[in-house]
Amino acid sequence: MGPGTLYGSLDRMLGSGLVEETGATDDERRRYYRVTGFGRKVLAAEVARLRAALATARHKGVLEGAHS
Amino acid sequence: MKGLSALLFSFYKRALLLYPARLRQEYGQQILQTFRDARDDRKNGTAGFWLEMYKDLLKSSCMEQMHMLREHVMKQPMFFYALTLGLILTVLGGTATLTLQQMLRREANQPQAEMANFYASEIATGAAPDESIPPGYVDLERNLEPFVVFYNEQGKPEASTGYIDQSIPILPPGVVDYIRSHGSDTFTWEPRTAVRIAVVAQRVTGSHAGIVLAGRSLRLVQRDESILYRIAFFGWLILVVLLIAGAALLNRAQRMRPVVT
Repeated sequence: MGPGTLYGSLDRMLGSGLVEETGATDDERRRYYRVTGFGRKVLAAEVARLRAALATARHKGVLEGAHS
Repeated sequence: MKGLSALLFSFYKRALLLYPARLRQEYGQQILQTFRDARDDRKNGTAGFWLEMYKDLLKSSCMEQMHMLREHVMKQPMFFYALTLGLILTVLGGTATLTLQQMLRREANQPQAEMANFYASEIATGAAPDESIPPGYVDLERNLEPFVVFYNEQGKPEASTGYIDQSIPILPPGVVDYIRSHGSDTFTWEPRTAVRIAVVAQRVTGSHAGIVLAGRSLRLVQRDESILYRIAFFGWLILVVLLIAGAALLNRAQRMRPVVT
């Protein structure tokens, strides 16, 4: 992911409350972020959604013959 | 190579202008720092690295501009609808105004078309131009009545009811040549500054070969056009004010509406 894509996504995640700034810094040009509690819940839900999609795909044999 | 790298970095730095101002102010320095980190840690070759970075810059700046536009529209949807409606109505109103103006201008060619046809037929069947064209005096600067002029093959006037400064107006040689080769022409003639005439000219063949020109002052049409433009402009202005006021009121009403959860 390039810098432009990264900070656009970060801005939207901040706006949605998924991540927050830590306030800690070792260099004024660097800022650190962490996932919020709400962000963890959304992340868990998204992982569950992807797992369910994968399970459905496996069950229906969509992935048969696919090479990784 | 170092010089080229510095140049490409400087260009990248300037190209951050492609991002929306808010994002640039908020994250500009961080984007550059991440860029430097990526440059120091790069795994792929120099050309590949720069290509990836510039590709990301172009793609993400377009996406961010789209996001920003969507945010603005979502914040004030009524202004967006009003702007769209305003644009559609401006195009429709402009088209209607131009159509009406063209209709006015076409109407200005009557009765010259019939007059030119009538006198051209008479002269073509052998009538002498000075006998066929009745005596009359129409001052092109002052009078609104239609007039008729007969020019010979060389473009020299032989009979006329139209005058400007007590002389028969002379057709430009290019116009004479055009009518001679094309048979007829309908155009706006300005024999003198601010004197505009709606003209229908027809070529005559036979013993009295030449051109019959029938004209009429465009003063009344210009006055009607001016009224039309004024109505269109003030109508458009009122429409813009109403749309802005309507959008502002609807936006306010929407903000003040209680949220039911």
